[in-house]
Amino acid sequence: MIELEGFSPPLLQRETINHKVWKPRTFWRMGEPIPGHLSLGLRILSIVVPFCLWWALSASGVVNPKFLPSPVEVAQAFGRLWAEGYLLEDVRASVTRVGLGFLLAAVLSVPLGIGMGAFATVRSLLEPIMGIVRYMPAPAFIPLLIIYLGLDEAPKIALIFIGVIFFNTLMIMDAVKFVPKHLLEATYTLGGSRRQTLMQVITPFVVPNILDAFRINMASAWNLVVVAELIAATEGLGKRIAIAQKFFRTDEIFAYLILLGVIGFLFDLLLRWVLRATCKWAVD
Amino acid sequence: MHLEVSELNKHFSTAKGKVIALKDLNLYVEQGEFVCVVGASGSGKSTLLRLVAGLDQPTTGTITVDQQSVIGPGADRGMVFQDYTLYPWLTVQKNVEFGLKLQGVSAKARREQASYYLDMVGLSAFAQSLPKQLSGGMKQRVAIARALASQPKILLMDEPFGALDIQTKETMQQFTLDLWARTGTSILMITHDVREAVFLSQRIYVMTARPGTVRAEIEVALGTARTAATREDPRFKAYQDQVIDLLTHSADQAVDQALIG
Repeated sequence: MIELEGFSPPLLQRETINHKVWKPRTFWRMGEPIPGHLSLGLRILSIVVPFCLWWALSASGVVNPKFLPSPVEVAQAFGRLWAEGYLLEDVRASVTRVGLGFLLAAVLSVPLGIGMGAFATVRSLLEPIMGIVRYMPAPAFIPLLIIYLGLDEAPKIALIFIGVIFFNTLMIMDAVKFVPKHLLEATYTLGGSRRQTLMQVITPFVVPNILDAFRINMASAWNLVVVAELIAATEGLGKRIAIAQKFFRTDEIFAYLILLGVIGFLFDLLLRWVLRATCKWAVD
Repeated sequence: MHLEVSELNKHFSTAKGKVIALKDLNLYVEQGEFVCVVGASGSGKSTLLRLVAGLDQPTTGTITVDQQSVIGPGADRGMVFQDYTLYPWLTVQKNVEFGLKLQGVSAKARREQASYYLDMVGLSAFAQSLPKQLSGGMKQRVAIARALASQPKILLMDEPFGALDIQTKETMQQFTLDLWARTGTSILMITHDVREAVFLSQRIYVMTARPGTVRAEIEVALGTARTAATREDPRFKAYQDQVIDLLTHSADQAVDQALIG
């Protein structure tokens, strides 16, 4: 104990302070990875538990099977749609729309985003207008798109394009802002021109962020393709769901919802694989 | 090579008004010299190096390399930054080649040149590694090799070992001295570490803050072949004390001026 003459600090009794020691935990440790087998087990549960709940609920008879089809009925609906050739046709139609709309948006958003991130001039010119337009919900453009582009593929692709390009661009722009200034300056002192710095330093640096932006915005593209098809289409995953509603085919609606989820998930896996394959430096 | 900095002034305008970062600063570096600029943080020493590198423009005054005015950054003045500025997506080999690639050197020639300098910094075995697999000291050696690969007239170093632990730092200082002796490159280094400056330099410029200018120029006559034993030399201690004295004195003066002002 420190004794100072003429000074007595307002010390607490040590016994009144709770010196509890917290035991380290595996399961509830924050911000730390968990062992591989535990992770795999939980991942399997993540799918299996909701599936079993669904099965149990439909088997229990509590809910009218008209509203909640059983997994078996959904599988049968799935098989039926496949056999009748609708399924493949619908997947092809929707994937093509998403693919084209997204590709157009990607091709434009990469140079736009990099340009806006790198040059304050371009940013000042484009950020305000993009900031406003991106808050206009893309589906609100549908009537205009139909008036301008008719009822074919063009308005659907345009809708996805509108819904994706602004977010993609702004996310890429933000990534460019995080390129370390010293990395650019090092390039200048190595004799790099602005063009070389843009193409050979800034661009490769943000490739992982571009792929991440794509992954996130791919989800909006899927949202919008279904919205577009609900309004005007002859085929497509969203269209089939709308038709199924008219005939009260909840089994088909379930089948297509699951299909939408799986296709989206596969796209996500694909983009993650591309990231790992092309940007080893950015993944641990 | 002859670097001449004369009557250099640099003002910044900030929200609080004009800041005089550098005032009437003069210095030079001769061919093959190792010169350090020592100063406390805020003395404008990094600003000085950025101006020499051409990354910023002076308000008034001139900087010339071989009578040629510095108007912007270029590979004739290689630069090594304090934080590691390697390209994380490129291998060590490609990092060292990068400057030559920017300058349009053929793939074969730049491969050979890069290998030569990687060998010189002792990292040939790591040619195919990614920067994130290297330690801090190794990263700086790659950055030095990358700057040297363009065969600059002068190497500018901005507190290159500031982020390293003390053991690594002393190893890197010895390494840099050896490299300097072998290549004959002229070096202008910025540091706040007095021991580092005395150990490495032929000449030291001591900078004072607010406004940043050269307060003293000290010749360090400890020979060119310096080793760990040099640090034990009584003259080493004397130089160190002299620089510290100049820095402390100017710091006191700055405080006095601030109090009066």
